[in-house]
Amino acid sequence: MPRLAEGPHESGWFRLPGRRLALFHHLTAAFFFLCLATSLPMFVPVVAAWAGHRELYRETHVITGLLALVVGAASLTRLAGPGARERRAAITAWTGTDAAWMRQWRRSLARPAFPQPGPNPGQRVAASAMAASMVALAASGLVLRFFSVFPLWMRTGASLVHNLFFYLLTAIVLVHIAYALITFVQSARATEADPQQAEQGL
Amino acid sequence: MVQHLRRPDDAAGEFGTKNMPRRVFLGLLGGAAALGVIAPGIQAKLAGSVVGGAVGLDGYQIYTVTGGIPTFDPATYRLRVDGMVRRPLSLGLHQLGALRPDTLHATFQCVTGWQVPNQVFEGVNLSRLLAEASPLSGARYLNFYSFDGTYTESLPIRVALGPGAMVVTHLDGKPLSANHGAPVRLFVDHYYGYKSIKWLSRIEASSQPITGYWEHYGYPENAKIG
Repeated sequence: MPRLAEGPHESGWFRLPGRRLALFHHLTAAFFFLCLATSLPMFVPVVAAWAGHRELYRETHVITGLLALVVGAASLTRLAGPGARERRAAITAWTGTDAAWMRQWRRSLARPAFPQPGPNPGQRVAASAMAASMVALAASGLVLRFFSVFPLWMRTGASLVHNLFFYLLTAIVLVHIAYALITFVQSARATEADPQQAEQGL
Repeated sequence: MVQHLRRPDDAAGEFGTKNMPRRVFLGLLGGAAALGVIAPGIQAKLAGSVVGGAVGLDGYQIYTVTGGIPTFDPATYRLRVDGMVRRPLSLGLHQLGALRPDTLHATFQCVTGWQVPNQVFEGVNLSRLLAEASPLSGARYLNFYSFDGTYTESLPIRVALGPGAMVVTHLDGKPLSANHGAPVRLFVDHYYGYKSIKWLSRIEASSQPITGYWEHYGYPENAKIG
């Protein structure tokens, strides 16, 4: 596999810094959506009745879910390109500027401009919520997959946690995608209006 | 815009300088753990809702291990009881419907934790069918076969003779739907749902149990709850 070139500039539709990081991000998304797709024949009766083959979907669901978590976590390591420590710090840091940004965002749900490079505070909070949801889903999913070594009360708890965090994570991801699409459309319009300014990421 | 974001009173309010990403991460994980612990206590209240089980109206998740729901012809469907019995039976839907019905109020409990409480199962107790077929003394197990061609199960005959083992034709006052195993399924009270084989077409009395479909995938042979 050829090495992916690293660059200081934003790349791709989603303006992730570095091609390898973008690859990790899109791989995480791909595994997540495969995991989501294979949940339908297990949890939506009308799809289950049509699709059958529960074992096949269950195994695919477990594997893709774990891969989404592993690849997502790996995107915070050197595997996804240089500057891993800075990426981790950028996600977990929080200042008064971030708090002000969040307050302003909550008033209008439109994203205020953010003066620093990297993810804005909303993206960082969403990333934390996604990470926690993925950990909760993986832990509860493993209890359900390997149920025979866990008592019934734990399986009951895992079942409920898995259901609720599925809704939570799906909602966050949908909002995340909605904002990404808005960014894409705005960026395309800006390029149309003033290609030179858009090239500078303004 | 940038100046506005750097107001000196930024730290005040709910999005203050406490690290929000960390709080969200730890808060959600803590919430998940707490939810997992209290789940058994609130499960019955949530059953039938989208958070309690499946994204369906009746709270059941639908398990089918072949390519969809198997179909049958009501005119030719037969439930056979054979193997080590003195009087093999072959019952059509009319004959099953003509039998005096038994009723059982029970909770359907899946081995993966979800449940559907307050279910009314109606059909014929397995003990009555066995009395009719009269198993031989060497018969120790009942093996069950689905007409989907794949799903199989087994039960010790002493369990099958108990009051909680039923050949079900109706659920909550209605004929079984295809998703629930129409026209006939098994229900075994106090046993996990995978023992309650759907689309039942044959009951075989035997000296040996077969390895059922789910047991083949590592599910315990003894599916008794608790």
